[in-house]
Amino acid sequence: MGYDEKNCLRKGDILLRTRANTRSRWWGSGGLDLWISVKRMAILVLLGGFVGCTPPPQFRENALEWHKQARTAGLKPGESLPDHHRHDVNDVVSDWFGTPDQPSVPLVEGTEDPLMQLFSPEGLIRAAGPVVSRDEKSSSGLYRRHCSHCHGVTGDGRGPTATFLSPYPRDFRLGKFKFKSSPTGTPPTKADLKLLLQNGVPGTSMPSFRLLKDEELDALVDYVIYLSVRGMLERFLIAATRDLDEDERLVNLPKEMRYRDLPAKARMEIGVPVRSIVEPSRSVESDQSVTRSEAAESPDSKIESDEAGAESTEPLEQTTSTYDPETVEEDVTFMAEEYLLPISEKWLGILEFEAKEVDVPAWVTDRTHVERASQLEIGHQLYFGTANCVQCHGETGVGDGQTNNFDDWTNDWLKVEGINPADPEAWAEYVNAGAHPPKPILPRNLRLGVYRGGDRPIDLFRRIQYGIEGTPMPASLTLTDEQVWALVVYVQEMPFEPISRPATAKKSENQRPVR
Amino acid sequence: MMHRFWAILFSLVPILGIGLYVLAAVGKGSFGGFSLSGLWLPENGNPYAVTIDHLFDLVHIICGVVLGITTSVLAYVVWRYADHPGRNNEAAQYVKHNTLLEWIWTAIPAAILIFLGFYQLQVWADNKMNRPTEMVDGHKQAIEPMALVVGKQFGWEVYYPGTDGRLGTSDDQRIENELTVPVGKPVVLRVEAQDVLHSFSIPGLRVKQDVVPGMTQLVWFQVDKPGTYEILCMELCGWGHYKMRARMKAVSTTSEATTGTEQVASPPSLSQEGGEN
Repeated sequence: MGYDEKNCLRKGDILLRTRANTRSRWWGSGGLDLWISVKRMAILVLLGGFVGCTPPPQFRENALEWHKQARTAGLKPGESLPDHHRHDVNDVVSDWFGTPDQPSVPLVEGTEDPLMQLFSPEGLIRAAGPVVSRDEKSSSGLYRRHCSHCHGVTGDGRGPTATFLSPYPRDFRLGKFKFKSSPTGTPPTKADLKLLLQNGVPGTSMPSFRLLKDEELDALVDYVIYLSVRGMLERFLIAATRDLDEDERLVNLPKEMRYRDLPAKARMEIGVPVRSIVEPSRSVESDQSVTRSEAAESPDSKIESDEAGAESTEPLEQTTSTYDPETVEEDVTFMAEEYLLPISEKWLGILEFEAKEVDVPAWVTDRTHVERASQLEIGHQLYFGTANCVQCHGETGVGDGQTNNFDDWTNDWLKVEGINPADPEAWAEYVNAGAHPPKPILPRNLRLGVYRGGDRPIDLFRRIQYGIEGTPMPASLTLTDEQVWALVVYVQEMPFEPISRPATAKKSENQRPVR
Repeated sequence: MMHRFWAILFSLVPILGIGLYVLAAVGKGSFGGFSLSGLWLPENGNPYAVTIDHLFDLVHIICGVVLGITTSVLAYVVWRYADHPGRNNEAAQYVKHNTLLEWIWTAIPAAILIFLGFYQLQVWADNKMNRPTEMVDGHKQAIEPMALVVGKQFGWEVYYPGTDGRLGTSDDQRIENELTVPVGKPVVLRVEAQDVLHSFSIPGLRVKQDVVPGMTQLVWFQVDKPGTYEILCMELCGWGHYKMRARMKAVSTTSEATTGTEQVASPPSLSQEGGEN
């Protein structure tokens, strides 16, 4: 130790040494730290590798519908409909509509490709698949980028964030949409869906996507329709299996055989031909959707059952000879005509739909119009009288009338067994099957001036005229157009009635006197 | 030798840092196809904020010079005393106090701070306190807000006063994520928050104002060039903060006589015919 004692430190002073031994010790420990961080980094890289290797996402089976139908069929808790029914539905739906990465569209014979008129292939390509945005022009995977974290990859309204939202995100599989210009019971027009994307749904977690390009919005609208058609078909097929006998099948194949095990060529010939939307070269060359579905077995896709892997490894040649192509063809065509065509017709019908021209009275848009006051009074009387808005929206209009209703997406399963929504144990099994815990649908608070379906006069008019699909808000069948407009005026003025704003508007706070 | 290596490595950090900074400011740098020009603030289009840019540049230059001096001294010391033969077994000199040094490094920053403090007074007043005025009937009058912008999770709602020219009445017009303002005249906006803290910011105009639920704030600016500007939320407000963006369109008004408010109060997409089907 050759350092100068006089220069060494007194008590309390800061230690500043440059001794070789302390330095090397520091270096030693530093090296250790470095080594640890290198190890951590390696682990992270490995983890990243695993994440990158997850199988492509798959559409999720509608477990809730299966559960519901099992209940409807009178099965006890724990029992479910036979597995071969599930296989048939899953095989047919995934054969026709493909996977999230490779959507396809069934082409029904003898018709003019009805589904391809519903959505453009370019739109589906942009909206489907994984998120890619190398530059401004080639961004794709729009749905997964903007929508899937709430609406789910399947469009079932069960994305990762869905549980935390109120109201819950829309489940497209019922084919019902709330805010549209078309009458009750019909799907929305493409323009309705696009407008909704542009404006968002005020008062909910649905934001505005106005900054997306026009063609991106069109693509998303197409994809939402695609998901909706797919989900509706799945639900119809599940419901159809309920009425089958024990040994009957949707597709007449030998017991051990699955529809997806048929070679793609055979399926094209005897079944419904399918048009692949994304990368046709790839999907044709891998001639079986067997490969497609095997990749499907990610933890969150429940489509495939446990024994699926074992089954599909059986040589195809042995089993293909044992089925009767004609009856299979009959079955598949029947499914297409009975279940698929009605859905596509419903949507196609709306493509040509043109909203009825409505004359907007001058007193609706012009606040200074002489008639406005009298119409306001008429609206007020209708609210409490003929139109009976007061029953749900309450006497003060804050939405405190009838508050124990549920929307159709909840009633769809809640009503099956007459479950008591207040009893969590009663609906626990449905929630396990994928339902959201039931939340009552609250009538809108009309004092806030926040209108989910848009606040233009025509929006309010449509809400009152056609009602809101899937909710207890009814269509106003008995009111004349003029009466509806009077209600619109009353609804417009409600947030500005004295009861809504007890305090007058205050001065802006960082206002300074003018010099 | 190892210590020399570390000395170089440590001094590379400030050197590269300052280098990147200068290249980004000049807007000409690019590394392997990655351009630096997009990293800097967009060009300023707001005459009220010219002095903000002056201040911004001034502060950066002062800090850059100080950073350059201190880091080069540091790098030199690390290099000089890193691995000097024969010194390894010596204790370091302990220097306890130096009055002159204390004076220097207290007085210079204090002078800079005082200077900046006075220099920014007028900038702050122009942008946050003295609302632009207009002549109404021969009287100077503060310009009323032409629109109300409400931040919410996750987006911006824009309310125009409608035909009566007043906000907060039943003919207000609402549109999501799109603000339209006239070019070439002062624009005053009222900004509010619906749910949590947000920050209303237009980087291209150097406008930034935190918005607090329950508080009403005014911001003002002037856009000299027609075009589209980006409105961003600059306060982490929740999981969707990143998507809280809106578009501001600056349009030239056809006639000078009409106030901008009337011109842009009813963007096409809001009118009765527009948007419906």
